[in-house]
Amino acid sequence: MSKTDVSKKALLSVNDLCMYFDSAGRRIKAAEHVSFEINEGEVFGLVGESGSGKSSIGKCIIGLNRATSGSISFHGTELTGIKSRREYTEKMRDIQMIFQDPMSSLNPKKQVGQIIRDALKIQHIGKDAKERDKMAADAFRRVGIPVEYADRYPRSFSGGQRQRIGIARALAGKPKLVIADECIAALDASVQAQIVNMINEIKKETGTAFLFISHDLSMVRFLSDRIGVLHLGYLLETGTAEEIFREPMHPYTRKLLGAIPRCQCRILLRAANHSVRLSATTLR
Amino acid sequence: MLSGWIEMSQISRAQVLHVKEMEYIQAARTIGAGNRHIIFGEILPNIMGKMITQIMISIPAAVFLEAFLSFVGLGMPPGSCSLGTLLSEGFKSVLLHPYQLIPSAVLMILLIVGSHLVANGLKKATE
Repeated sequence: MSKTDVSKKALLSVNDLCMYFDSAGRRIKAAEHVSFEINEGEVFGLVGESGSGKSSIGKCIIGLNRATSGSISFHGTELTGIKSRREYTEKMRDIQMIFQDPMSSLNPKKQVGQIIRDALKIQHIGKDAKERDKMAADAFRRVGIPVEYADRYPRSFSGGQRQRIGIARALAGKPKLVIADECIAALDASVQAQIVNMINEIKKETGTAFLFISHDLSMVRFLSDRIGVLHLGYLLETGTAEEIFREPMHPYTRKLLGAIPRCQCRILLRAANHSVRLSATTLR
Repeated sequence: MLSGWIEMSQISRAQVLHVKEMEYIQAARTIGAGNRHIIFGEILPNIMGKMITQIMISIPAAVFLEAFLSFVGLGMPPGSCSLGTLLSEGFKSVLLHPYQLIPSAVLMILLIVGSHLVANGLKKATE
């Protein structure tokens, strides 16, 4: 732990979280005794190859998946084991999610302004329709979508713009923690950079903490304060972004770092070989 | 008539199963939306188009079925006005009095083609 972590308060702490999927008599272990903390105003990057359980952990926190055992506490309140929906809505107001696929994360039959207003209304945020209107407009402004576009339908926006709208929906209620589940994976490189820069700005301006789930290590490095490396459900190591990238402790992390594609052709080839070997070892 | 609803229910079931896996349904769940909101607010508007189209497509099919049954004598009793009865009456004397068959045949064709065109238009409009 570095000094900066100690001075900040933990916003979310995940303790000994296990999550199993039982299907057809087989037990798939998505998370095995995972523990980490996210401090206020910090971006925590969760990396790992596909199938390592990154998304399952994110969904556990937001309540889409149920944890098999372990605890998740947010601001000191326990999130696992909440039964009633009302209690849940009240507690979850400060956690929001940005989804992976901008094409399917917005309801095609609703105007984008309506999508955000509805989200606020369901969560009982804002006193009346007027206030919610204003909050939605603020959210649009923050993600750089002109407010006049609020009465258009999702189909008239590009992928990057839709992802911005998805981010606006997450930010409209001024949450304390946003879970970004592979939120840049479906976008092309230049749009990825825009979105990542935007998240960075939002984090600086509003002090919102992010759980940034991704397999794109270079993006995670750019954005994250701290990083956790996940492999087959086990959290192998956590540390600040610098620590992980400068001196990775775990051999798997080293392999993962070696697999980052670079611009020179020969290195690129070697990296490609590396990642093939990597997936071969994990299959075993 | 008894089995007319089966196709409709199959189609709407398939549509609901498809739509409910979309990420915007998950998004609604994460913010704590209830089942009622998800069914009527998120899913229904998205399957409405397909359902309307299905209704419009089943209209010409019903017209044709009725005409067919009357034509073979299983539908409306003779004497009541039905395209099928008219067609079968006209068909008996088509060589001597073709004018008895042609208007009802033309009407039948126009009716079926017309409602198909309307169904297609609606399908395009709702997509």
